[in-house]
Amino acid sequence: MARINIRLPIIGKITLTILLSVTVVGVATVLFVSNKVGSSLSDSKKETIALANLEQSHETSQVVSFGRGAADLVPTLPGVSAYMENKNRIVQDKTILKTLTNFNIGRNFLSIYLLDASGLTVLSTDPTLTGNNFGFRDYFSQAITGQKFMEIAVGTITNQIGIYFSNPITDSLGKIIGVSVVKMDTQPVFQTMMASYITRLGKYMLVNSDGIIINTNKEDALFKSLGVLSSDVKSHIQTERRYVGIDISPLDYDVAQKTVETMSPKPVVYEFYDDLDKNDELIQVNEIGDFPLYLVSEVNTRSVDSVVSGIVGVVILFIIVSISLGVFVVILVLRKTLSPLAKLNKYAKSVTSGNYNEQIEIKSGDEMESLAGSIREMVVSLKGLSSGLEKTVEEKTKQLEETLSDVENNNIDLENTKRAVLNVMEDLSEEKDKMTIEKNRLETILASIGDGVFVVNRTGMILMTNGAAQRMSGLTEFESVGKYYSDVFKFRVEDDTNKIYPDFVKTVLKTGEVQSLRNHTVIVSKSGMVISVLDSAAPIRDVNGNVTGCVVVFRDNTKERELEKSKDDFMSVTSHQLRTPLGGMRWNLEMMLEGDVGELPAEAKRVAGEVYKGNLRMIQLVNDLLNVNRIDQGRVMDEPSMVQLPEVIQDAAKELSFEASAKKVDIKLTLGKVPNIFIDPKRFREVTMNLVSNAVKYNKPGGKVEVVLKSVDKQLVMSVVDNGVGIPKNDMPKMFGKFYRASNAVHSETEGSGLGLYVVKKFVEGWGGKIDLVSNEGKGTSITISLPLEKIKNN
Amino acid sequence: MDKQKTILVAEDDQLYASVYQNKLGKEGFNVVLAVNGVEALKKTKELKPDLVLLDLIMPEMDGFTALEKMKADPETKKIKVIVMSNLGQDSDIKRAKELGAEEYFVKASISIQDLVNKIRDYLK
Repeated sequence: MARINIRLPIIGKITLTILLSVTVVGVATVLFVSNKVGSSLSDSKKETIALANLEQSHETSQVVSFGRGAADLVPTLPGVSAYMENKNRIVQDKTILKTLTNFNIGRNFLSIYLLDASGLTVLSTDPTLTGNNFGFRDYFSQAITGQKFMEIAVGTITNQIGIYFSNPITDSLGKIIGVSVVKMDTQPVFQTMMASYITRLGKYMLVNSDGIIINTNKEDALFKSLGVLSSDVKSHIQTERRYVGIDISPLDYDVAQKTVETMSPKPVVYEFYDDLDKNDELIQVNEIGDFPLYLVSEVNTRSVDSVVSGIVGVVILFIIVSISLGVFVVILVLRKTLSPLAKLNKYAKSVTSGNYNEQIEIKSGDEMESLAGSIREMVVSLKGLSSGLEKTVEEKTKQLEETLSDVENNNIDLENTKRAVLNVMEDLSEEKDKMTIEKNRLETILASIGDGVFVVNRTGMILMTNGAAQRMSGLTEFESVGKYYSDVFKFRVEDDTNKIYPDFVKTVLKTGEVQSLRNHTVIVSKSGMVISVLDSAAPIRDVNGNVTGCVVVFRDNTKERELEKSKDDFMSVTSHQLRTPLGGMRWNLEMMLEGDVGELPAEAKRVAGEVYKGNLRMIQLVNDLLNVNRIDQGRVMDEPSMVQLPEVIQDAAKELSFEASAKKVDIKLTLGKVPNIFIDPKRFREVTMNLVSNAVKYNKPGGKVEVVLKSVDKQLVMSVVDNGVGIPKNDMPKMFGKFYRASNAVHSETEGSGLGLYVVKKFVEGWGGKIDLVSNEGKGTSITISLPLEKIKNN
Repeated sequence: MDKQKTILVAEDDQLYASVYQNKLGKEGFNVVLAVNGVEALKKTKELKPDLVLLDLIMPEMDGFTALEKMKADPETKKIKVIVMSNLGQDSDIKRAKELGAEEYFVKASISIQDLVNKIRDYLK
């Protein structure tokens, strides 16, 4: 079904709709009303006419009945019958004449006369009639056969119209011997007609049984026939000389004619268009009594119609006026209500063309107002969007332009590259095969080595693990690859397996430097097994030297750890066991030497002193052994703090001042301005003590020791210089060895563990520093340590 | 004259115990001996000494446990304790100090005179 789009403003549409519907309703009403009114009016009019007709026929019938009644009496008048019987009757017999004339008094009939069997008038109240034969009359032919008869005719002698009543005259035996006739004047009849109500309604026609109009108030209708007469009737009228001298022409009331001819006793009403009068008429035909006389009334329905039209007209007018008023009001209201739409339309158009700052104000208190509000808000957001959009478009366009030019360039490169690639591809497939072989070889090697190996990428995600690593972690290659390394290899501290080892891989990836794990690191496997490990992590670099990943190698050093631990325990126990008696001996000897247990003789005191010295040496030895063992084990934990080195050195020097003065050696301190460093003060003191005490011990009386402290190039430098006995050239390489004493040492100092330099080197290197030893036998020794100012590695 | 100071010495080794008694006695202190941790606790609680010298390796109850209990008991927790032991590990020293010992001396590494001086310092 096609969609019909009618372009019409809202008002137009609504008005049209209203008009259409109202018109339909109005027309229907009008039709209905007019129909109803019309029919009821015409019904009532018909009723009125019928009633009037009825009444009038009744009245007329009364008048005619009077004549008939009288006529019936005539044959019964005294002497009449005998007169007629008398064959020798005297024409115009005076006695009978008198009788008839007397009878006529008050009745005023036009004439009363008697006819013999042949139709000859033998007696008449109107003498002009006497001697005439009226045998041609129907009233004679009917009555002579015994039928009383009535007709309306024009007298042949008198030329006067009248109503003729005839009756048969019978003798005593009942034989018909003559006819009595009474002629009544039509005037009274006509007069009643003229006065009737019918005349007010319309026209009437008094009609005889032939259909001939004998009385009417219609112009030019007198002595015409209702409709066309049959030729029989016409000729009969002629012969009967009923209307002599009158030319009877028909009107066109055919239906009425038929009704009359059929002598229907029931009133007939019909509608009829009168060509002569040129209007619609209502025709009513009533029989007057039993007489062959009819009343035909003719009412112009136009009068009825005009009344109806009049009413209908008024109704229509009323409807039109109210519709117009209504429509007018509706249009007004609509205009008012819809006027904002035009405003909104204009506003929207303005905004569409870019004018976002246009204003609109609608205060109608209805949906229009809220619509205006909503549209205003929409415009505001549109504005924002639009400007945002513009900006975005600008940016995007710029980006696009840049991208496009890149693309162009890339395209050219691509073409070249494509060609090169195709060449390379051929070579590659060869290489691939070679690589696969190589890869397999490496994998086999990796799988075979006993140490755990794993490789991570730049973000610490595992790329590969070998068999040993998997065994120690307890996770398969599949479970390991792609995860962050510390989720797979759980490095912990031996002393507290809940303490997670710091992320050393991250340090490697960041600094690109090799990292070794501290001692006593363990790995906790998936099953909770704790394995001691030693490891190192190294960066993997690409051809440009950028760190692309890290490889970690770690080995299960459980056995070594076990060994270490047992050595540890042995050392602890042994040293404790050794110290106990030594300590006891010391205190006892001290008491002896102090005189707390009685005075000793001088020699005994001297010897006791020697024993004491030896005891002290042994105690020192035990201490040194323990110390060295701890250092070896890495058990020495630094407790660093911000230290003012000059203070530490001064303190150490003070401690050694007694010994120095006893040996007649002078200690000089040249301490420059150095920043404080973050270091373990106890350890640094130990280092200083070792170095300075060496310088004092391995010296001659009057010797000098100088301690120099300065900072050079982000390095802290401390030198201890003496002009003592020096170190033989052959011993130099081994000076830092454990328990090593130079060959000339024992001359200066019988006590000496040979551990001093070993400890110093261990500490200094542990801090990330360097140690340097220069010496000349017999001249002196200089030892220099340098520590990185900012990067002391506190362990 | 100051009241005589009482020092409780917890030491199971006869060698040391006799030196303490001899020397400290000579220095004018009242020395009370306990041969194990249990006795040390008991006597400390009873006598409320001015100072306790506590050995670590003892039978029945070791020094650490005794020290812990001593410091937990409100009656005795204020009494100063000096730990005297031939154990010398850093962890032992740390532990003792954490438990509330004032000082830790390795017996073999300190002279008896130095010890006496230190004791006098603490009893001032």
